[in-house]
Amino acid sequence: MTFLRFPLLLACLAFPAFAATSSSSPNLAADQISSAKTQPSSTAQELYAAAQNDLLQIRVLLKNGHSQSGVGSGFLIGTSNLVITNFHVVSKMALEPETYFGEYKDTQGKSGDIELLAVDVLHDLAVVRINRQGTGFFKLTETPAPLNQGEHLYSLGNPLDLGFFISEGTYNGLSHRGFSEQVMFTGPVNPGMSGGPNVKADGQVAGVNVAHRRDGELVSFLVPATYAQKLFASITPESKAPADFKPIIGEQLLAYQRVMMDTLLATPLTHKNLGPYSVPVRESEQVRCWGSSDTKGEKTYNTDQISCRMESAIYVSDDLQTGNISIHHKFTQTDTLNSLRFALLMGKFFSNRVDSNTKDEDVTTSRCTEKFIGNNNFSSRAVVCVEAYQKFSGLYNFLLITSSTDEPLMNLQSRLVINGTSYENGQKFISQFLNGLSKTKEAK
Amino acid sequence: MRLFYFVEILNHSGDVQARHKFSDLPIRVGRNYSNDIILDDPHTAAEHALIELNEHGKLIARDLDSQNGLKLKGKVHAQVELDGDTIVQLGRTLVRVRDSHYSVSAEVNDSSHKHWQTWLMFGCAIVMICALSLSNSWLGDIANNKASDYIMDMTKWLMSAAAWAGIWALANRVFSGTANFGRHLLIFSGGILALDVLDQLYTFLGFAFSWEWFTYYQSHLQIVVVAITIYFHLCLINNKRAMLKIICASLALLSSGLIFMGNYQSTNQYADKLYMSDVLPPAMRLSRNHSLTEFDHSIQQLKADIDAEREKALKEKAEKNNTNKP
Repeated sequence: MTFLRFPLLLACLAFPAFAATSSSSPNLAADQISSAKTQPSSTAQELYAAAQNDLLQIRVLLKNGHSQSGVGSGFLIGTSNLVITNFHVVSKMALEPETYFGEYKDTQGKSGDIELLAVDVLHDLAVVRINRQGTGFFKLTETPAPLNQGEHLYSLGNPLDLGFFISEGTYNGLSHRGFSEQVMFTGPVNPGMSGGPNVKADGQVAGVNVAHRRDGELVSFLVPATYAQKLFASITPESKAPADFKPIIGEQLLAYQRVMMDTLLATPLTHKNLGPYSVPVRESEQVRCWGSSDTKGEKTYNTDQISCRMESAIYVSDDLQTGNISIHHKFTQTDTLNSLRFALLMGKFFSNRVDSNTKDEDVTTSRCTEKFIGNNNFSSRAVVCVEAYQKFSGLYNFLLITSSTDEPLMNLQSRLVINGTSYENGQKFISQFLNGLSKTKEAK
Repeated sequence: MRLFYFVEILNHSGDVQARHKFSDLPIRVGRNYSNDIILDDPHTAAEHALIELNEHGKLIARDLDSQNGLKLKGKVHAQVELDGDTIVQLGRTLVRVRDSHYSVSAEVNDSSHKHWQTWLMFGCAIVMICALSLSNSWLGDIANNKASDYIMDMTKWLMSAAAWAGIWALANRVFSGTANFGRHLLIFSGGILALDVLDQLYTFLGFAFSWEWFTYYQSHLQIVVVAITIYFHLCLINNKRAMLKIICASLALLSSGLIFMGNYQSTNQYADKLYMSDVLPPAMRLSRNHSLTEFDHSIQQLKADIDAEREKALKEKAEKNNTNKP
């Protein structure tokens, strides 16, 4: 089911502090929810009463059998017949219109057809047209009044297909972890509320529900209203639904990767030291790095690792999230193994580093090239594998893995993954990355 | 010396099941109890055939108008000349006739049953398996294993070897009388030694000379070694070497073909793996380092490949969609 998406979970499971809080917190969360239920603010009551006519559930159904395959929420803008929702709610309609269709259901239980008019994959937004007009409650303005931290906001939607909910929370600034910012909202946003509105008490739209952190409590994210406004403004009454959304989505992904790669390549990569090696990492607002070390006594070798990844990805479909990079360095050394045994162990580390090479719907199978390379006093075995996107032309996934071959009892293995980039940018980043690998001092 | 005639009933492997001695001809053969040799084969007639001399004084078998007749190499004959090695088929019964002048083949030297040889083979096999197991455990030992771990490992190897050789020995015992366990064990240990040495050689050549393509097709060489090992096992059981060669070669080709097909079906490539993952110590490197520019150039060249791959995938999908439409 296409509920809210969770692109952020894995990033933080590696962070022990989070794991500790999440294991001790279910009671706390229950308390918060129950207190919210038992003492509804009168504002929320009035707001729901005024908003309910323009609030919709968006359902994506299989043409064959009419069973629902995903649900989300949406809302009518002003007095138009246009509805804003998330792209990930209706992505199946955009990518496989021959298999899926959509319909809406309102708070009175009435339903009708929806027509997908426009998508904004990067901000996870979509506009659909329905057969009735809004009452004018939800307002999008070109220059929304700035929000203040702590300001009350209300999220509406149909969580878990249970019924229409309103939940109260507070505005907590903007998150810059992705290449487009998101509003941080401290309040419950549950799967199924995707695409629902988040408003101030007067109906002014602050954002569109899009995601929450599964490893946190009540940490939710909204697409800022300005992006919704921009997409809404691009539609005129004469706008027709495009016959095929794939080229449009492909264009948007290409534009996104240009911004992403330009930002990533704008400044030289940072260098960190691992043993005698200097390794490149990209540390920025969007790419976070974590380090770990394994020096257990009974082991014959020890490892130090640096792992960097983007905490966001672009959702295209359940099977395809793209537009992100990750960097991983693993330095291993031994003082008890001999060089042959150590090398064989490193061979085991170096194998099966390509995730999957079987045929699938989204990307082609991999093609690889490999060589021994020498640069900056550093020599290594390098493998580059490339996959092409089948539905979107000009987009590729790159994987670079290297294993150092200049020290008998030390080894540095690096892995760089770039998903959803143009060939040129992928090649450029790989070349910069390889240039950043060097040996700074001779091993003792 | 008086001349005797021996009628031998054979089984399908050519071994004698029953031997009848006669001093006079003709000999009547059939299911009736009035015959000299009574057959229990329902595919023979009551009076099936007569064994006698023809006008040239040669031994023959003559059909007595039976329904299934006398068959020689699958063909029905009214009468068949018997020269001592001719095996004639009556119904489903195989019959050979020899007289007492028949000269038998020379005595075979008994080489297989010298006690010390069996033990030598057995010992060699055990030493080889133990050595292989020890070297493998040593190379893979990354946790400071104790002697007991090595011994446990060795026991596993020996037990698998015994199980494998045991199955062949059982087959050998069933089909040709002797078990030949020691020889089967020796063949097995030779086989795994060859596999292991080739494996190391592959890794070495691939790494040392950067012949990565060489390691992509490793499984096929392994199949060849396994096929040769099985061929030697079969030779011990059955002597028909030419036929066994054909069987083993075709089995090897079949397995290779299946691997190629499976690889191609799942990944659109014939190779077993995407890249060479083996790493050896730097001292074993014999090939040169490439510059980043050269590597970048080969990444550039990859673009044509991957774009062609995409075209192919799209074409396949279009074809699939077309065939799905009614």
